[in-house]
Amino acid sequence: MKMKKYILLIITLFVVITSGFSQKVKISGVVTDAKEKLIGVNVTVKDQQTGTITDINGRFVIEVPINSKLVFSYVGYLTKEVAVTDASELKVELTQISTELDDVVVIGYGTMKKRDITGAVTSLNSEVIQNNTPTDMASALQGKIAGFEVISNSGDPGDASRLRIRGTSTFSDEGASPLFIVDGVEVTTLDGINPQDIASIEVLKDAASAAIYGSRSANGVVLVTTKSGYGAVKPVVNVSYSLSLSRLAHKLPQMTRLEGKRYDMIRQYFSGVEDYTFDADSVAPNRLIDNDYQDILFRNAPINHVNASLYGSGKQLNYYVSVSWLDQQGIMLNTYNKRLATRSNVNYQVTDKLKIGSRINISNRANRQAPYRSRNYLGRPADYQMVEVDGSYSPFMSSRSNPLAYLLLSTDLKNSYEVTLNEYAEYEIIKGLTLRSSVSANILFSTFNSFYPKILSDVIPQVSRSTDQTSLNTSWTHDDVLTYQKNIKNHSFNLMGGFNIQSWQTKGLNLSVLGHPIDAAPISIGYSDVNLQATNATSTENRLVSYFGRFSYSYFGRYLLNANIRADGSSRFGQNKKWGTFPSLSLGWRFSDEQFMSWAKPVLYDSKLRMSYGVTGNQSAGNFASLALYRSLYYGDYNGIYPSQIANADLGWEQTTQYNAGLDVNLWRGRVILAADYYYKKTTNVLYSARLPQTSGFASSYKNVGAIDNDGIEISISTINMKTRHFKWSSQLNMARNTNMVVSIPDGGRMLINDNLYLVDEGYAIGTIYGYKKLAIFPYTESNAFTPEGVQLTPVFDDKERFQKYKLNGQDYTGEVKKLRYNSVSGDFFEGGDVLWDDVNGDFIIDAEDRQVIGNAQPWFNGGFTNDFTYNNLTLSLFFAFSAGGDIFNQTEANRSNHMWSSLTRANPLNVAQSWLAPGDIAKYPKPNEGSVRQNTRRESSMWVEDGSYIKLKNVRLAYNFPNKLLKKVKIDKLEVFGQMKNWFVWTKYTGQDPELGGSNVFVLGYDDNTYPRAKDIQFGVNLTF
Amino acid sequence: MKKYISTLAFRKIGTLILALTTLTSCFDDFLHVKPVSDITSENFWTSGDAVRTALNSVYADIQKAYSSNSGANYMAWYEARSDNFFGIAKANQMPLLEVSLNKLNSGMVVCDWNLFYEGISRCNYAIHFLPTIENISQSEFKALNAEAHGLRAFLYFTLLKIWGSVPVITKPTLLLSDVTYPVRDSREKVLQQALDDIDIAVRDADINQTDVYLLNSGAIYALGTHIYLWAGKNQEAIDVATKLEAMRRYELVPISSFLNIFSLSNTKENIWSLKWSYANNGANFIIQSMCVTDAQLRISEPLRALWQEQPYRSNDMRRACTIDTTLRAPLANNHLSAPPTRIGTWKFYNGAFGGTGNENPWVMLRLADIILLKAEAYNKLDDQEMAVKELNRVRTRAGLPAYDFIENFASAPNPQKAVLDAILLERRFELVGEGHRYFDLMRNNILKETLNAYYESYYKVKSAYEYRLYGDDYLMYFPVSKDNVIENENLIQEGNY
Repeated sequence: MKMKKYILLIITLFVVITSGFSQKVKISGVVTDAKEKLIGVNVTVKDQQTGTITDINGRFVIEVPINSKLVFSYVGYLTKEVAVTDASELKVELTQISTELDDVVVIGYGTMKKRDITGAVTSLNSEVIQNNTPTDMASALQGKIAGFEVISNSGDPGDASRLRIRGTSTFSDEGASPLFIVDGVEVTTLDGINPQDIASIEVLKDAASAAIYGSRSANGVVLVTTKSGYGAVKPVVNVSYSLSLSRLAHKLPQMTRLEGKRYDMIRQYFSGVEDYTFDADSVAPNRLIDNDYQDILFRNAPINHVNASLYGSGKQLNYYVSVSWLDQQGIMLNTYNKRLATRSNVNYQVTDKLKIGSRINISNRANRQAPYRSRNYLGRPADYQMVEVDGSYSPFMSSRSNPLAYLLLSTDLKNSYEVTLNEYAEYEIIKGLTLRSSVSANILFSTFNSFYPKILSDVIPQVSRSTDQTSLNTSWTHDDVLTYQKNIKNHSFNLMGGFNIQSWQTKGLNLSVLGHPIDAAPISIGYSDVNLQATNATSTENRLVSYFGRFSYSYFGRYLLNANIRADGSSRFGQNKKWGTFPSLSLGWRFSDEQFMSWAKPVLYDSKLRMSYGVTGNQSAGNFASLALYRSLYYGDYNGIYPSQIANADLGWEQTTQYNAGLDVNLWRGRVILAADYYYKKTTNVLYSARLPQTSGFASSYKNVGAIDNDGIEISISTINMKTRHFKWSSQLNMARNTNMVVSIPDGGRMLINDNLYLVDEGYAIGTIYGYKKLAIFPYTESNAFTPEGVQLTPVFDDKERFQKYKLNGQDYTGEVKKLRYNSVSGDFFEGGDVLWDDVNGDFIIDAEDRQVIGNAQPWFNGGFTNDFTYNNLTLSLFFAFSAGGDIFNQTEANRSNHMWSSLTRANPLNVAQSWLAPGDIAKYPKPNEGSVRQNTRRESSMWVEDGSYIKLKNVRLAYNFPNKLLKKVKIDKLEVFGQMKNWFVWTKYTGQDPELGGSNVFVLGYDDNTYPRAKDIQFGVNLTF
Repeated sequence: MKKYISTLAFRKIGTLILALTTLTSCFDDFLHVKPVSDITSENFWTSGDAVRTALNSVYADIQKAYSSNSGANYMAWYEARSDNFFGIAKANQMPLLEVSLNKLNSGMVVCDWNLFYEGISRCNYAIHFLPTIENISQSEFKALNAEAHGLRAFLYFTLLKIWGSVPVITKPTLLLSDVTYPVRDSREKVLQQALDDIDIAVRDADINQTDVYLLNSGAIYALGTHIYLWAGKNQEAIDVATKLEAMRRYELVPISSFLNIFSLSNTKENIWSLKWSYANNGANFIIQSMCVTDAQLRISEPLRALWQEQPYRSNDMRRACTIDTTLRAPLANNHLSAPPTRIGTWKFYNGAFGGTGNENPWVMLRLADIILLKAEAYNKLDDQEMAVKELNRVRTRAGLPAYDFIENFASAPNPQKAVLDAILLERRFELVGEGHRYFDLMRNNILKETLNAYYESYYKVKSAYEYRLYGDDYLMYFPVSKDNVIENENLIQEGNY
């Protein structure tokens, strides 16, 4: 019905009507909105073709027949009809339709309306950020932006997350992370920020958007803007509280005491000990122990998060102050992350032309993570005690440390104190020309204390150890940015030029001692020995100077152009290569505004094509990567100083060139919003510490080597599926696919990373898992028989299991029989229960030449899917995250089910149940003999590669907003109560803890090495505003 | 018009660039950040102390080379291939069984020579920069020069013994452009390099340099004895060994103090030891693996049996110090595959199977070794009288009766060979576990026959293990690690490796 009206209106506007008018009158006037004059407003005579547009001053002049009606239409505003009665001056005020398109988006050193964006920028407002009531930034961002991968490395409270924008385009860890800018200040992590303080987050994905940050922007930029008091006239107080209860999300199978003993028997049997027995019924207490480690070491842990903020604005001043307290207890005993954060954002309009402001963020974090050795519980026999009869903790047994003692007795406490300051002054020199100067600083002071009492020591005689570290990281930035905004008729210009100077300093003190006389004070107050190697002071610095500029031009808001350039000088590079220039250009075309698209207008509310090109850089080598450096070590207690780095005066920037093509479509006035992007980025001169022939005395040196290509598609669709008076259903889907290929590699050929498991080679993607491919398990020793062409023969046995002959395709085979050997021409033949490996080169010897690609950790695509259902005051939100096609290397299994080290380890009981135990078994896993000489359970094998695809219902949230009527009586603006479940439902084939994996290293993706397992939470909270 | 605009635009851009360049150069100072806690070449090589610390770091390389892979490096290079030990460990990091069976392959972690080349690089730096230092006395210069060359001689000599033909690098890698991709030089050239270096070291050795944990003057002479004898320069070997004793710094300690040689390392008999600090360097893994955890490498039955023969069984006091004497009976038939515990070498842990967190020093060179080398040199010069005299010094210290040349050897069909055999047997008992046996065989060109006989009479009889007999020369040496070949394609793997 409504639609019809629309079409009618459009038709009437554009249908050609030619008719004469007897009486005409000249009408002039001005069109404004609530704030300013509007340029380019369509002014037409109703039911006629005549029309004009408003000029730069919002003025129009038109001749109209008397008693007709004027129609004022303007994109983003409600169309208004005004009856013309006489020739008086008209003052027309249009009302803005608040749409997503008019949101202001923060871009580097400025802002822009979303409708004018020509690059690939995704913006999240505070509502979206807070829709799952996150306690940390990683969970606030996860799954919400196509092409922005956020994966927490583990479930350890306070553990850092791995953030990647559009894949990996470099070879070093430091260089793969995006640049984080919080209110204009560069920070190394977002951990100190309370997600509730955030007004918006912008992710600059393509080079054209990011290039304004030049040499550090190759991996994209994350801009965080915190809240201010704009808009709230009276002071608003917001208080929220939430309580979560976390528990282990997925318990892994583990052997009980008896299962373990039987497992020992099997292993002993295969080692030739056929009469192995064990004390099954001794009354000695330590023989009856049957630890279920996962039950003992894990707990239900509470997370408390309190947040209070106060904001408002007066005529000249606006303010936002907040304080929050997070107490997150980890699911492993004695682990936690606590954060106290305060923020104060104040803006003051001194005069019409001068504005000053200040933003201060102070945070204090205390974080106790699970020590590495408390995570070895999966392979520890269930009958190894952890507590002695007298109540004291057991020391390490047979090289297996005591995980309980490690959790409870060790100190691994990290404290950090962070202050971020930003002071600015903004002055409008002449109309349109603004100078903004700011000084920012980030001061991060952190301490680390670790204390391992004697009982935890795994050497004899036992010795206590402690480490105390402090580090002070300071960075300061000074920016001067000049912006000029000018509109001439339908042309709109924006010029920005700036200068920036930055420096980063790190100072550290490290003390590492051992042999404490007593364990009473868990800090290095008294000791008998110093680890000189780890006791030292460090001080280092690097600096950056930059010039940058941007030119934006728009004609009618229909043709858009943005060009950036930045020149960076860095102290990190060689004398010859200190300066780098990073240009970018992007174009936009709002084709929905074209005449010829008018037919589509009823549906196609707004659409825009975007194209961009840009060059960005990466400077993540060490601070003095181009110089010859020396380091200190100790031979006994003799100090030695050795050359640690060779000079390379030609060391320079790593460069990423990126092309982006995007399409924004907005249908039915925001009912359906679609954004799709395709990108291609090529990184060259990759900064990498490349291997050298070690006869040089050096293992590696920083060089500009190698090239990586990434290309991908990102799609995000948000829809309002249903909207009635009481009910609303909206969805948001985002998906991304990134393909990545190493185009060239450093000298010295392909690299095998992480103990020869991950391949880095030309033509292969990063995250390629490389090794031996398991085809089957030999059921009989005689099954190791092949024709010279490599076709496996079938052995035939008589009724007493004696081997008779071979058959091939049902026929008796009498030709030459080839057998596979292990490792060399004289190597052992494989037997029944051994693995039949794929003999790639067909030489019947299974050696390093037979390795092949056995998996790829990069998913085909991944993304997030959110659904919000609102019924009156009740809202139900479902958030799914998914990933398809990525492989996982299950190191946890490779480690515990390799059957090495008799009686010291326990395998996965499910693995043993599917292992070969007797001739004829068709098994999934080889025979569980200890330390097989034919390396059946070798690590680099397809046996441990699993499909890591998953769909997770990460979040189910049910919230109730108390009705306004009720609240008004008690003078409350808003009261919301909610409950949510996080990480409860996972659909995956993966057998390990969690298919969602970070990665310890740029190359090592999809690697599950038994990190701190993830939790599932149930959370309740209340949110009150008055 | 268009043209005009573009020239104007270019001019403007040109001016802008000019202005920027001017500004840019102003910031050159700002962008020049001097390292504070990082040392650079510019400020490092200014005194003898710099060379001193640089050389200290070479010892750290040797220490690390030996103890890496939980001590597997030392055991694989020096002991697992000899007839004194059999290997048990079959882990990736510790492939000692395979090494014992002479089944080396280039993928084994123990094939990696990198730490030796790192040490050589540090020596090359020191040798390169030493002459550029102005404030240094002649005597300090000479002492440091001797030590640097002596260390490089040691490193090349060690590379020669383990890998045979290796690249000889004598120039420091200062710039990225100095990096070379060398080929393997002949064994003769490597030996020549060791000889050239030891000549300089012996020439410049400072007799006031006595620190037992450094390559002091005595250690240079002792190392010289090893290298000269290896090169067949028997007279030079005797001369330099004589020079060592002429300093009157060293003497054989009484057998009651025998264990102090290993646990204290600073007795009158110790010439050069590697220092260890548990706090700084971690446990001494060589000792931990060879005698503490006792699961990697154990004394072979033939050696144990030899020690059970008279007069050694009754008189040789070293036996009780070296191995667990409670194990008197022959080992069980399947001991190679199912080894009993406690047949490691416990002399390194003061006559016990001790703790894993030890920081005992490691004996590199000691007088008994040099005396026996001297005896070998005399024997090669056909002076059997002197050879037996030197040999007897070590024998009598152990509590054994002295030999008399006429009585014990003169009547043998080949007296020279008989004396050599006696010397090598003495070395086998005296120096077990100290890394000499395999190279004693190699030096005397009897490696293949000795070890092949050992395999045929021992492994073949007591186990089902498949061993590889010594045939072609390359089998005596380790393969080059496949990683090193990947880094440098000019390195050609020998034989079937």
